[in-house]
Amino acid sequence: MGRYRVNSFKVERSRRERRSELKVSMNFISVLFALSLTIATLAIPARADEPALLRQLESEPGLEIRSAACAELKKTGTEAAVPCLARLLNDRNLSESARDALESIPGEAATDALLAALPITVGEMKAGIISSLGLRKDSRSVPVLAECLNDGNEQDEQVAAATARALGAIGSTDALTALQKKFLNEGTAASLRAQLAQAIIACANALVGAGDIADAKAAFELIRDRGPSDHYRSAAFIGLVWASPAKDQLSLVKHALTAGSGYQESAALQLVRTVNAPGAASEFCGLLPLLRADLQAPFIENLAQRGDPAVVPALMQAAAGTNLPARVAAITVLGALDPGASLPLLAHAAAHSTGEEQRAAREAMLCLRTTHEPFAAAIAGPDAVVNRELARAIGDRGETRLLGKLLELSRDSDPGTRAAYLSAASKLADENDLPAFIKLVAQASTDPRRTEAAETLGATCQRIIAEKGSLDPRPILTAFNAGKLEDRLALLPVLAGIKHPETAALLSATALDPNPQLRKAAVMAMATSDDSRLLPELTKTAATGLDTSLRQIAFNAAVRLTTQDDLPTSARIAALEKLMPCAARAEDKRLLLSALAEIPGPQALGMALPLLDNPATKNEAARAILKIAPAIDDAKALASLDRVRGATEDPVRHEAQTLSSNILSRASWIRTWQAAGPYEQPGKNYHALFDTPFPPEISVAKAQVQWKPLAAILDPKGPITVDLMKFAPGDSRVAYARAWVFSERDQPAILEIGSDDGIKAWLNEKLVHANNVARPLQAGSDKCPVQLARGWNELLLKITQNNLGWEFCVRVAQPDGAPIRNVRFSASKDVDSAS
Amino acid sequence: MKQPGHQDRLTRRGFLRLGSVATLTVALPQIVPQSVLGRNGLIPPSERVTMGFIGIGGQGGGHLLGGAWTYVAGGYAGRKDVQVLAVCDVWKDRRERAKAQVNAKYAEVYGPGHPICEAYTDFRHVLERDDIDAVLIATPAHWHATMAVLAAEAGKDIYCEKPTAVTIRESQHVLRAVRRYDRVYQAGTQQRSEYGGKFLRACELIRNGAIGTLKEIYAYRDGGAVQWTRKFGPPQPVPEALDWNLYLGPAPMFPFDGNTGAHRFDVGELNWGQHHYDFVQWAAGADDTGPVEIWLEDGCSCYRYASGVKVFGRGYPNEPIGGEGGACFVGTKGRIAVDRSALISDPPEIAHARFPAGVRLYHSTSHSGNFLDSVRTRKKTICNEAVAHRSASALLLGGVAKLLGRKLRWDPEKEQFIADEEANRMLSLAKRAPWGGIA
Repeated sequence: MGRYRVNSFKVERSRRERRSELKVSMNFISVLFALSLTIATLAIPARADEPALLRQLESEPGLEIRSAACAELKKTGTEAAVPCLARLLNDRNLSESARDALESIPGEAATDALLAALPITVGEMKAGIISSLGLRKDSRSVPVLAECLNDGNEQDEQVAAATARALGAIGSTDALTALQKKFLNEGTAASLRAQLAQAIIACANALVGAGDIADAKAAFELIRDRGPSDHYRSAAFIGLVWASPAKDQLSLVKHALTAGSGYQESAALQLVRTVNAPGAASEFCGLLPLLRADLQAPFIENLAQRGDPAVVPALMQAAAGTNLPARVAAITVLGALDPGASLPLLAHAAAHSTGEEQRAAREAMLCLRTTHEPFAAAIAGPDAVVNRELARAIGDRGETRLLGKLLELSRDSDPGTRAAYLSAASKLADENDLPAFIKLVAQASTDPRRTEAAETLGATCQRIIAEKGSLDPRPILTAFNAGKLEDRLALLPVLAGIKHPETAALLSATALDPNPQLRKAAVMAMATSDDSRLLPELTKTAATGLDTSLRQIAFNAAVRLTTQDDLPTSARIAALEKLMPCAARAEDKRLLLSALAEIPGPQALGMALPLLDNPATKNEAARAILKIAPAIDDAKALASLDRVRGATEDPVRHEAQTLSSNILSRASWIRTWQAAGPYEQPGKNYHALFDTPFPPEISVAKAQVQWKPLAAILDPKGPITVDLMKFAPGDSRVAYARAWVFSERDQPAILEIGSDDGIKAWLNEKLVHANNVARPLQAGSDKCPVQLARGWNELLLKITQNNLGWEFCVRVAQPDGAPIRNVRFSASKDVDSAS
Repeated sequence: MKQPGHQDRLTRRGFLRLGSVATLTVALPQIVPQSVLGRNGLIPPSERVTMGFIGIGGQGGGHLLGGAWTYVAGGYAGRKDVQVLAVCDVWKDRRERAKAQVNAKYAEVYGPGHPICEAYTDFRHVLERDDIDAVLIATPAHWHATMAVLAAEAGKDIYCEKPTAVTIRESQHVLRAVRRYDRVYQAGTQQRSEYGGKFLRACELIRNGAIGTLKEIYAYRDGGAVQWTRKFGPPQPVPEALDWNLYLGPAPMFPFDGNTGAHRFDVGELNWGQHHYDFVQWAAGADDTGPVEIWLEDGCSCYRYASGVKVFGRGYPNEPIGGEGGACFVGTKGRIAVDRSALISDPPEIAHARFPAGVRLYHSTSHSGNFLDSVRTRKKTICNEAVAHRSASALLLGGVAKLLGRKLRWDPEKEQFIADEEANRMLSLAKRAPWGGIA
C-alpha cells in the first residue's frame, strides 16, 4: 500500500513499554474473562431452564453455584423464581445475588417479595433491598418506604438515605409528598436533609416528565429557597427553568444573569447554551453588552455553543469592544460560527494585536467556514500588515483558487508582503503549478528577486515531495537547459533538492561544465543534497577538482553522503577509502572518523584503528571504535578496546574499560538456538499447556522432532533475546528451544533466564527450573543454580505463549552473577563453532 | 472556605474568574506570601481551580504529579491555575505519599502559608468540602460512575477516567446527574485533544469526505463489561494500610484476596475500549446516537449503525496503526488509519487533503486544559457527559453481546434492546448498599 506517515515519531520505545504494560493488563483481563465465563458457563448451561436453576438454588450447598444461578435468573427468571429468590434476601451471603435477579424480574410478585423482606432485614441488606425497590419504580412501594422514612425509631443512616433515594427514583406525587414532609420536619438531621433535597429534585424532574408541572415547580421552589446548599439550589433553579413555559425560561435566565445570586449566574450561563424559547438568541445578544464585564467572556463562550450564526453580529461587536477577555472570547468563537463577514475584523486583529488576541484571530481565520471569496475581496487592501495576515491564512487554509492571485500580487508588492504572498503560494501549489513558479524565476528583474523566486520554487517542491513522496523534475530540467546563465545558477539548488536520477546526472555533468560559475554552483548545490547518487562525482571532485575550496566542499559533502541510510555498507566503505587520501588536514580525518563511527563493521574498525596512533586524531578514532565495537565480533572488539585503553586517557579510557566489561558480560548470553514447535491443544491455554508434555520432552518421541535454527536479536544495549513470534506467531501455544553449553571443567553456574511467558528448563535432561506465569520479558527475572559438567551440556527450554509478545533470553554466569569464563555455546552439539 | 457574611455575587466554584483579591485578603494570615497575591507571575488562589484527586494509583498519580497519560509536565499539581486541596485513596501509603509530594511542591512554589493538601481514605469526605471545585476520578473502573454521580450531586465538576461507566444504566445516571446539577464533565478519552491533533485531523478528513463515503471502521478493540466475580469464604486478614470495603464499594463483599487492581471485574476490552469507541463515534458523526445492531464474529463484537456503517471490534488486516486508542476507516475512495503514534492514509494524498469551507470539529489542544477552561467558563468540554455516555454505551453494548453470545438489535433513541427482554435485563447490575440506586 502506498502510505504516508504523519508524525510517526518516537514510537518504538514507548510502543515496547506500552506493549509490556498492555500485555500484563491483557493477560490479567484474559484470565478474568476466562474465569468469569467459567463461573457462568460451567455452573449453569448458557440457556438453562428455570426449574433446574431453582433446584440448584434450593439444594446446592455451594455458594458459588447458587450465586451463579441467581445471575442466570437475572437474565431469564420469571415470577416462578420469586419465592426461591425471596428466601435468600435475608441471607448474608446471597442477598445481593438474589435482589440482582429480583430487580429484573417483571411483575408484582418481585416487588412484593422485596417489600416483604423489609421487616426482617436491617442495615446494609435492608438498604440494598430499598434501593432495588427504587429501581423497580413500583408506586405500590411508596407507602412502605414513606413509613420507613418517617419511622421515628429508624436510626440507620444508610437505610434512611437509601429510602430517600428510592423515593426520588420512583418519582411519583406520593413519593414527593413523603419526601417533602420529611424535609420540612425540623427534627430531620442535616445529613438526611441533603439526601432528601437530592431526592426531591429527582422526584420533581420525574414529575416534569410525567406532565405534573405544578407539583414539580412547587418542589423546585422549595429546594431553590430552602435547599441545604448552593448546588441543590442550583439544580432546583435549573429544574424550575425547564418546568416553566418558554417565555418564562428566558426571563428567568436573564434575571439570573443580571440580578441573580452566584449559583444562579453559574447555572444561567449553561442555560444560555440550551434555552430554546422563541427569540432567545436575539434576546441574549441584546443582553451581552449589559452584563458585568467579568461575565461577558464566559457568556460569549456559552452563547457560541448554541451554534446559531444569528449571534455573529453581537460577537463582532464584542470583538471590537474594549473588554479584552470578551474580545478574545468573541474572536475565538467567531471562527467556528461566522460564514465570513468578520474576516476584515479578524485580519485587523491578527495584524494589529499581540499575544492571546493575535493567536485567537489567526486561529479564527483558519476556522472560518467560508469560501475563498471573502479572502479574495479582502486581500490587496491598503494595510500591508493586514495583507500579510490574509496571505498567511490563505496559505494555511489551503485556498488553492487564490494561488494565481497571490503570484500576481507578489510582482508589485513591498518585500515583506511579497515574501508573505510567495510563502502562501508555495503552500497551495501542486505539481501542475510548477511552471508558474519557474516563470517567476525567469522573469525576475534582479538577482535578489530571482533568488527569492527560486527559493519559493524549492520550498514548493519540497512540500510536494513530503506529501506525495516524489516529484517529476522534468519541467525544471527543461527550464534549466533553456535558461539564461543566471536562471541556471538559481535553479541548481532547486534541482539538488529533488532526489532523482536525472537531476543527479545533470548536477554531476554541470560540475564539469567549462563555465567556472556553473561548476562552482553545481558543486555547492550538490553539497546540500541528500542524493547518494552524487557520491561518485563528489568523491572525484574531492580528489581531482581544480579549485582547492571546491575540493574541500566536495570532500565534506561526500563524507556526509556516506552516512546516508540508502547506501550499502560496501559502497560507504569504498567511498571512504577513496576519500581517505584526500583528508590532508587533521580535521578532515576527524570528519572521516565521524562517518566511520556510523558503520558497524570490521572494515570501518580497520580504517579507524591506524588513526588511533595520531595524537591529532586519537580521541576521535577512539570514539569511533567505541561506537563500532559493540556490533562486531567479541574477540576483535575486545582487542580494539585494549588498543584504545593503551592510546587514550580518561574519560575515554574509562569508557573503553566499561565497554570491555560489558562485552565480556554479554558474551555469556546464549545467542544461537534450535527451536521446535509450536505445540497446541484445543481448549488448553498457556497455563494448562505448561504441564502438557510434547515430543521434545518425551524420551520416546524426541528423536522424531524437527529442529530449526533460531538466532537471537543482537541488541547492543539490551539482553540477547530470542523472538518466538517470528518463529511461530500466535496465542495459546508452546515452543521448545535447545542449545549446548561447553564447559572446560565441572563448575557451578547460574542460568539467568527471562521469558514471556512461562518457562521450564532441563539441563542434561534433568528439570532444573519451572515457572508457570504470564508476563512480559524481564532479563534475569528467574535465576536458576546449575552444575555444569565438563564438556558439552544440553540445555532444553519450554516457553509458553499466552498472547502478544513471546520471547526469552538466557545468560550463563558464575553463581554470583559475574561473567563466566571458559564456557562457549553452540546451537548444535556436533559443531565446533560456538557463539 | 467562604467567609461568614460573604457577599460575592458568585461563589468561587460557580465562577472562578470573579474571585476578588480584595475580598480574599480579609481571610489572609498575617504573613502574606507574595504568591497569594498573585505576584511573581503566580495566579492568585481565588483564580485557581481547587481540585481533589480520587484514586492516585498509576493513572491518578500520573494526572496529579505528571507522567504517563497527563501530557502536562508536573501534572495538575504543577499547574499554576490549579490548587490541589485533597488526595484520596484506599491505600494509606499512596495517599500519604501523594499528599507529601503535593505539599512539598507547593512549599517550593508558593512558600510559607501555601494552602495545604489533605489526604483522605473515603472520597465522600472530599466531596463534602465546600472549597473544592472539581474532582478527578481515577479509581478502579467499577467505581467511576457511582463516584461521578455523587460528585455531581455534591456540586463538583468532574474529570473521570475511562470507562466512564460499567453498565449502560450507570452511564445514563451519570448523564442525568451532570445535567441536573449543572456540572462540567470531561471523560478521560484524551485522543480528541492530545497526540498532536492526529485524531482531530483524521476525523475532519473523514467527515469532509476525504475517503469518500465511509463504509467500514476497524476499532481494534471490541466490547466490554463487568461481572462481579463473587468469592465466598471466611474473612482473610486485610493489610492495615488498606480499606478493603471501600476498594470493593459497589461490588459484592468478599474476603480480601490481595487483588486491588483497577480492572479486576472487567470482561473483554472494558479498560481500553472507550478510547476506541469515543473516536469511532466522533469520526462517524455518531456522538448523539449508537449502533442499531451488534453481532459477533469469531467471538469479537461488531456493530452496524443506522447510516449503514459497520464497525468491527478488531484490527484492519495487516495494519498496525490503530491499536493504541485509534481505528482504521475504510471509505469508497481510500482509507485512513490513526492512533497515538501515527496517521496514515491510502492513497497518501488523502492525509494532506484540505477542506477550508468544510466541517470543523471542536478543537482542543489539551484535554486537561479544556476541562479547566470549561470549569471557569461553564462551556461544554470536548468529551462531555453526552459524548461519554454514547461512547461508553457502544463499548458496553458489545459487552452485552459477548456475555449473551448472540446478535442483538438496539434502539439508540429509546436506549433499549429491541424485543429482547433478556438483553434488556443486562443493562444494569445490582450494587452493594449503600451504593445501590446511585448509578
